[in-house]
Amino acid sequence: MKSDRAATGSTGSVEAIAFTAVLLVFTLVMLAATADLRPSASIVPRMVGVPLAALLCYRLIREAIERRQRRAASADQLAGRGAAISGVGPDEHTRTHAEISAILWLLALPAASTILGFVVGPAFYVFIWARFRAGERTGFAIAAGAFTAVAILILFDVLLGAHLPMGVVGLLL
Amino acid sequence: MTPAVLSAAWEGLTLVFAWPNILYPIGGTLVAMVVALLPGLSGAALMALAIPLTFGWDPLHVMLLYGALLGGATFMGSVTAILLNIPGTAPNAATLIDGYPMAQKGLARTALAASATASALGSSFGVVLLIALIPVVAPVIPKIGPAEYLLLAIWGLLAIGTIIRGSVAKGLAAAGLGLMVAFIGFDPRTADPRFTFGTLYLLDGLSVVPVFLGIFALAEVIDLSASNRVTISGKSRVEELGGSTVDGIVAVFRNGGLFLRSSAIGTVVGMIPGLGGTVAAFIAWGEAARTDRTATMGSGDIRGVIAPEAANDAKDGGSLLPTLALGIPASTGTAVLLGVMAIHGIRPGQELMNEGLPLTFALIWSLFLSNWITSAAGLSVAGPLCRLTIVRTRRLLPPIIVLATLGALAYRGRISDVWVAMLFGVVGYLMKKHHWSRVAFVMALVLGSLFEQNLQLTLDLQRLGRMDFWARPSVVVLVGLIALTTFPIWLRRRRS
Repeated sequence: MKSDRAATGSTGSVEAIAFTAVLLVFTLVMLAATADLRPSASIVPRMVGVPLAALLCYRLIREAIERRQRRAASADQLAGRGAAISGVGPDEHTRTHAEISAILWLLALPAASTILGFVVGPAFYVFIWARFRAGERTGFAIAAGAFTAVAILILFDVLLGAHLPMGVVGLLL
Repeated sequence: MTPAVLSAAWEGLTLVFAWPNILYPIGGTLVAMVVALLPGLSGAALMALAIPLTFGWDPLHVMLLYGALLGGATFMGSVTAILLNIPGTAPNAATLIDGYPMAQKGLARTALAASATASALGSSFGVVLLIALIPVVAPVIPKIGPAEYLLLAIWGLLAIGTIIRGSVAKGLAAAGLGLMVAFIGFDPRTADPRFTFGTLYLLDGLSVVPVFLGIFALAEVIDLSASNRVTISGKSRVEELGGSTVDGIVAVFRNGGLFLRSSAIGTVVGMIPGLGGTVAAFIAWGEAARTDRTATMGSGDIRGVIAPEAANDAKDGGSLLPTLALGIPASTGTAVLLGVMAIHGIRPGQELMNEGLPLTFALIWSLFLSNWITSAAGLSVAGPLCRLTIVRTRRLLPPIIVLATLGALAYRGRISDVWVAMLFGVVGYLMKKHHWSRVAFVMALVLGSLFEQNLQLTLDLQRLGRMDFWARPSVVVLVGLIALTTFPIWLRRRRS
């Protein structure tokens, strides 16, 4: 089964199907947008987009077939035991939870920076991460946050003269 | 090489090492090294930032500083690429494809040493070729047109077909998606806004820097965070790390043929205006993958570090040729250099190639020196730096996220770039998880606009009778090279 998956690239999971579907929708939206363009501007995107949409449809079907086969195989294995087939094991649930958590933690930085600015925001973010995600002591977390703010100021603001937005709070003040 | 050129080369060398001139390349290199460690900030950005400093300077000192800034940033970007999966500069995105998996295997020291060695030798190769080719190639460069650019883009895109591992359909689809993303922005022929959906931000297209930061660095952050991996290398003590600096240096010499091919690719691509280090690095990586019979490229193969690093550094020498001989900038960095030269009354072309030749060589030697300084520094700190791979990820991830985020912001000063990096972080993670080739995606993204723009131009020129595609000798040479390097590999893959 493992080598089959490596060859076809299919995992048959709901997430794999959903991801392929999103890519297909993106391609179809792009293709639809070529309708408003002059022929010379749309020819190359169509040359790429039409076969790409076909490829993604093919991938979507492959993923769906893989899923059906996996469910059928699982049903056969569990038939005599009367177990319910959810298709998602506890490990997968844990992993999905960890992934969502990781993505939310990632998105928290630009969110904090948009509100507090790109000096205080990252410093606050590092403090929160160190204290509550990494479980560091409060003193260490405060030092890490302060170091972040100083490093950003020195490297990006003073040395490179980069424009660091002040954030919503900075604008209000 | 004429005695006049050799005499000018010697004079240039003595100018570089004279006191206090030597301080300029050393100081410039040190600053460039630090900046290159910050993702998103390229050597070109630093060169632009340094312009106000140089007002009132002697032209020689300006050339010495800018030679160092041009060369100093190139290697250091690979340090973060290898250790943290963050490309310090855009071309280093090709290095992380194999460099980071090496770090995950505990071989960061070997990868860093190979990168430093390939960089130093690659830049030397580029400089030597530059000196040798100045009289020969200068008249040819203006004749390179859309047909040749188109064939170079096709060469790179065909390489994607040969590097795909696993599902071919997925690999091709990933490349197609990269091309579709590359088409966002102004249409190169009609200047119509395309796929912008009414937003101003998308008018210029998506910049590769936030996309690279997202698809590699932030995707890795999500993966590390979600997988609860304790350290990047999976090891907790430095004694458990494998590899050595010597292994990395030796690997470059063991793969001498690949090194020379990659350096030649880098120099040639560097000479061609508008292509730049990212294209050079990816074409060289693609070439290494094409000739890989072990199918280990992309999963921590040292050749995947050597090839892009050699090409990326060799391209600096190549890019100086059209810049100094013809006044045609071959990259963003050389475009800034031309601007600085204009400010200081240094005119490229005949002047720099004749009476100003010692000044030209001072710039070239400064570039050469800075490449060797950065590589020597890289070799000496490879050991301490590889300790980063045994730092607990819970402690390592916040600096990576902050660096990648600020790198995306600092590149163009747009907050939207930060959100684009985040979006591609999630997309990159899902691509990694579901085995969609991120390499195919970014290669197509880099080459997409080059392909489309020059396809349209070539077709138009052909239709208007202004160009006979097949009558151009360079076209025949390039088509021959593409056929020779691509089809045997495809046939071999089909047979196997």
